[in-house]
Amino acid sequence: MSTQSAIRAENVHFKMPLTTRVDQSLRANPIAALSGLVGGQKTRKFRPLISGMSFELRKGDRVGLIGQNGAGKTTLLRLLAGVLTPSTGQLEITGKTQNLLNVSMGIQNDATGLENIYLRGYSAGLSGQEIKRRIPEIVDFAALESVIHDPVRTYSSGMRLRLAFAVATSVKPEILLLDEWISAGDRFFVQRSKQRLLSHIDASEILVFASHNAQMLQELCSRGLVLKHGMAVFDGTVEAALEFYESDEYQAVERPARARGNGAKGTK
Amino acid sequence: METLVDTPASGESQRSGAASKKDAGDAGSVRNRLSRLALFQDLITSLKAPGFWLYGAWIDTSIRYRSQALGAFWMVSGTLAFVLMLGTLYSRVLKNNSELYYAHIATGFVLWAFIQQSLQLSTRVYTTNDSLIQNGYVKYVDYVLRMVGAQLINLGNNLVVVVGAIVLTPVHVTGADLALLLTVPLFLLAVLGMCFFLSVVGARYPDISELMRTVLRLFFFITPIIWTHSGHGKGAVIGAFIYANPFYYLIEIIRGPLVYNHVPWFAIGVVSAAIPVIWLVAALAYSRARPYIPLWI
Repeated sequence: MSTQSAIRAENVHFKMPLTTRVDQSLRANPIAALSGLVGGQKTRKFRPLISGMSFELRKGDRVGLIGQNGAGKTTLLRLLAGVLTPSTGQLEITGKTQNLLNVSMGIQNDATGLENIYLRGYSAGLSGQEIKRRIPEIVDFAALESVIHDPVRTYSSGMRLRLAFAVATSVKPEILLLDEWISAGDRFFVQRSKQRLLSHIDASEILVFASHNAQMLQELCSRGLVLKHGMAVFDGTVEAALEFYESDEYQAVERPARARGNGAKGTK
Repeated sequence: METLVDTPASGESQRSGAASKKDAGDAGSVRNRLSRLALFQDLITSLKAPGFWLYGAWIDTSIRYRSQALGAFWMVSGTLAFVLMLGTLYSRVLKNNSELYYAHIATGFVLWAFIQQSLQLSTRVYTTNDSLIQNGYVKYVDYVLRMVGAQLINLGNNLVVVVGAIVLTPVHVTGADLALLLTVPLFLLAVLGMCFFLSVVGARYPDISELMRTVLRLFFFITPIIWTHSGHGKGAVIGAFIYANPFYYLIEIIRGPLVYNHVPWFAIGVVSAAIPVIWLVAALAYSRARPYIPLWI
């Protein structure tokens, strides 16, 4: 791939439709459901989770997302991961994203370790051959040689995590999305996996890492993006960003007014 | 309406992470508004990279039966018991002396099991894959193909019972069987289209799943699966149950040539006409719903 990885967000908004189970129930609400299907729901309410965010990430960027709970870190990661789609605005992602937001996703407990490696490999877009080539290395790192043909439900939670982690990090990413979880896990796992994770991060062209942990942020990131109320309120070096996050200035940031930005927000 | 509510993936949103995952090769290309044809685009992507859903379909089937002592025979044995018992009982109750009755009920039941399971499971297919979807595996078509794939493996297994019934009853292999080359693909296309539609509707309205269960149970009895329409003619009341019943056509286009050596051109016409409609509706629903799926489930 000749093009360089890049992420460009321009005035990205994301609004979460507020539906309840009752809204979603066809039986409780058949007429509303039908009219919604035909005419589009006009009464839906939205909660803005990302409000007009703009930034640009280029190859080599190691970005820490900093902000209090509810600031929009996870939503932003999910937008970058492609799970969510911006309500308005541009989000251009050039390059292959890989997220380690939840390494254990999609592990089938009744399938064997080996089958899970295949399943995860396929879901990462590898071919059967490519997966086969990676198996020895994955099994070796996870230290599961003796049990790789046993169902995963017979594994301890540590073994499961090692397997998931080894598989997830076996494909080199271009854009790597990381969440706080990496600081979790027992000490043995953290030590064992740290080296692998660091080299995984090194191999990536862009890192986006959401965390509250100042030490880890400084260790892994060079740039900091501070979020509040779904806005990017500070963008600079990670040290300056952490400093801003601690300051009164951060506390003083106000929630954006409803009518802010381009006026055509569809909420009526 | 200028609201952006209706066009969540609209306009300028060019390449979300989801798209870039697959076609990183043409990185930087501009993808415009989520096309009405998103279903077909996603389908082509999934067919080009079948690893996940093919392997997944096989694993799902394998897991279900590996803990059984009888293995794959277990699923056939259920079908076999059903066909034998109902066949024996209802041929008496309905005074159906047709020599073809076992072949009739075996074919009808096996096809019905496939239809019923596929439609039922598609209403919950995204909900059951919630964890994968929320963590970034957003090739929605893959989940439906995986589920239908597993049902197809099941169907293949159950065909043993159909073949058995056909061998044991005086069914002749004639030129009419050639029609199966046409009708089997039609059957699968129709069911797959319905699955895509129901997968989206089921994600939006979770109680569709319950509704489908009831509806499908009803249709099992009002579709000529355990009963046959040949003896009664197709008069007013029974005719309504047959001609207004989409499942009748679906089953008939395979059962007609296979068991009765008769090519049901009318039913084939109905199914052929319905397929574009089903797929069009499914594609519209899919393109409208896709950005919302992770939020609904």
